Amino acid sequence: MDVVDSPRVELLAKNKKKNNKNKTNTKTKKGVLEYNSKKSVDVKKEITEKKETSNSSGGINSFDVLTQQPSSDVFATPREHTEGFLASGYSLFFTTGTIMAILCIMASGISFMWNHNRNAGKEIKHTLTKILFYSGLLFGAVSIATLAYNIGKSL
Amino acid sequence: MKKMKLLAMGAISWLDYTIIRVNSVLADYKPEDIKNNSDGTFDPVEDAIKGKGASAFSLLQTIGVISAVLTIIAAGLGIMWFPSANKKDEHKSKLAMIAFGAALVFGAISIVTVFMGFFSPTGATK
Repeated sequence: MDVVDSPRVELLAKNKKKNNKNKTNTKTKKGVLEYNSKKSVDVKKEITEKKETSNSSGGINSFDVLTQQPSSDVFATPREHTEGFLASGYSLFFTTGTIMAILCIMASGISFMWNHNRNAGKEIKHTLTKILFYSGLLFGAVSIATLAYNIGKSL
Repeated sequence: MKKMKLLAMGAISWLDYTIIRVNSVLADYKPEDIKNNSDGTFDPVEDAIKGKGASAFSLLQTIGVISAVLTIIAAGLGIMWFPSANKKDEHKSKLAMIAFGAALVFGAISIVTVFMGFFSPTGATK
C-alpha cells in the first residue's frame, strides 16, 4: 500500500482543504468586511458572557454601590440640615403630644367627677381606649418605624 | 376593633423588645437617630408650648382639686339627706366615680409616663 493513499493522509488532506475554505481572505475588500463582521460578533459574544458572569457573582450590576460609603458625599450638608430639622420637628411633636395627653387625661378626670350618668362605665372605657391608642401611636412611632426599617433591611 | 388595636399595640411593644434588639443592622441613619440630632429649629415654639402647657396643667389641677372637694361634699350631703337605702347607694357609687376622676386628674403624669415606657421602651426623647 502506498503511503500517499493511506486513509490517515487522506483525512489530513481533507481537513487542510476545509480549513482553507473557512479561512477569510483578508486580501480582498469582501474578505476584509467579512473578517470585521465576524470579529464584532465575537466581541459582542465575549461582552455578553462577561456580563452574565458578573451578574451571577453579584458584582458590577448589583446595588451594593448604593449602600457603601460614597466616594464624594455631595449631599452631606443638606442631609445634615434635614436630619437636624426633622429631629427638631419630632421633638416639638413629642412634647406637644405628651402635654396634650396629660391635659386630656386630666380633663376627662374632671368630666367624670361632675357627670354621673348610667353610661359612665362605657364612657370611661371608650375614653381610656382612645387615649391608649393615640398615645401608643405617639410614643411608639419610633418603635414602629424601627420595626419597619429592620423588616425592610432583612428582606 | 378596639381589642384588635390594643392587641396590635401590645404586639408592637413586644416586637420592639425582642426582634429589634436582636436584629442589629448597620446603617448610617436609623429611626432612633431622630431623637438625638436636633438642631433646635423649633426650640422657641417648643418652649412656648411647654410654658402654655404648664400653665394649663396648673389650671386643670386647681379645677380638679376644687371639683373633687365640691363633688365629695355634694355626695356626702346626698348620703346624709336621703334616708332611703337606694338613694344612699346611688350617692356611694357617685363617690367611686369621683375617686376615679380624681385619680385621673392627679395621676395624669404617671399614667402618661407608664404609656411612654410601654410603647417606647428605648426611651423618651426629652
